[in-house]
Amino acid sequence: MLQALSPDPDTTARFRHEAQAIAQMRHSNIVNVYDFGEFEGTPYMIVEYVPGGSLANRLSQGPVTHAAALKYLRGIAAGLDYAHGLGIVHRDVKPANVLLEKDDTPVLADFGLAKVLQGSSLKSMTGVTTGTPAYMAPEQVMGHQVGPSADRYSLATIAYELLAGVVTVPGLPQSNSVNVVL
Amino acid sequence: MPIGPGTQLGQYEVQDFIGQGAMGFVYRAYHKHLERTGAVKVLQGIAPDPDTTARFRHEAQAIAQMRHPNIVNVYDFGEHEGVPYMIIEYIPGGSLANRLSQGKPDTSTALKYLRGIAAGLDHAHGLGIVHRDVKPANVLLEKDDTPVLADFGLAKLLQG
Repeated sequence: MLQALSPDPDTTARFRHEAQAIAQMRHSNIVNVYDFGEFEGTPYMIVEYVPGGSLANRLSQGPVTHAAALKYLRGIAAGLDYAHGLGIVHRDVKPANVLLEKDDTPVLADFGLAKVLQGSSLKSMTGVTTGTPAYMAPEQVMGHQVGPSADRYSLATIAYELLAGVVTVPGLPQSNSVNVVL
Repeated sequence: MPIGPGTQLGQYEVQDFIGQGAMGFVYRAYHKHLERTGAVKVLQGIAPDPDTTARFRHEAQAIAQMRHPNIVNVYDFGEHEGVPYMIIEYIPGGSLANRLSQGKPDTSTALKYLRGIAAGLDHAHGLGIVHRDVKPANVLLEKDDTPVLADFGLAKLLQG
């Protein structure tokens, strides 16, 4: 649901855009959308319920085995590869946006910042730095054009976290980590 | 008004007639917000007695339990003026029966079909669901030739 924040036209459009991006995709490592509509002026989308919580939550409970880490990484990579093949860049790949099935299959969710590439390049959203800095590629932090490689950078930061047990930029998970990434 | 082109089912608008299945008619449907095409199966043409209606709902519930690239997804289920319908994903490549009527596929394509059907069945069986009507007409093909099992109308849920 798009609630608590007053749904201005821009936010509403982005919300619908997210649903449309997901609706295009059919992949075991990408969340499914079932419906989209408005209830008394509040837009909502219905997506599948993925029961295992997020990868961020799993990681907060302690380190994962190498076999589990590889299963997560393979799945996330396959989902991203599929999305990129359709010209969709996620732009906010991080453990909190990876959900887990009962059998530990990772499922990419939260395409709220996703961008559909037009032709071979894409215009970045000028003046807006979107994403989560600790997992963001330098070009994204700087507000430059962002393509599939930015998602792959984020995947690599998750790989580091899964295999080394620590985040690439410790202690600065939010906006202040920009300079460290650079 | 029976369900037909122009009928609004939830957020989906019924479009053209695609074909007739074992339990009724199939139409294309379009979700204007998602900009996504689906297929709506409508239980009509045959008088929907309670048994048939229960079996139709049972089919939708069986599909809804499964999450697998080789099994069709269901998006919604409901009733329109007493007529049950389900909205499932639209698989654009037609059925394997249709493909086979155009000639024999090469060996690698045949293996791709068989692997996919086997994987879908294996997933269903793992959940205790037996399809009971596996045949080329009930295997749909994605644009990239991925086979997708459909028509779980005769599916049986194993107990224990």
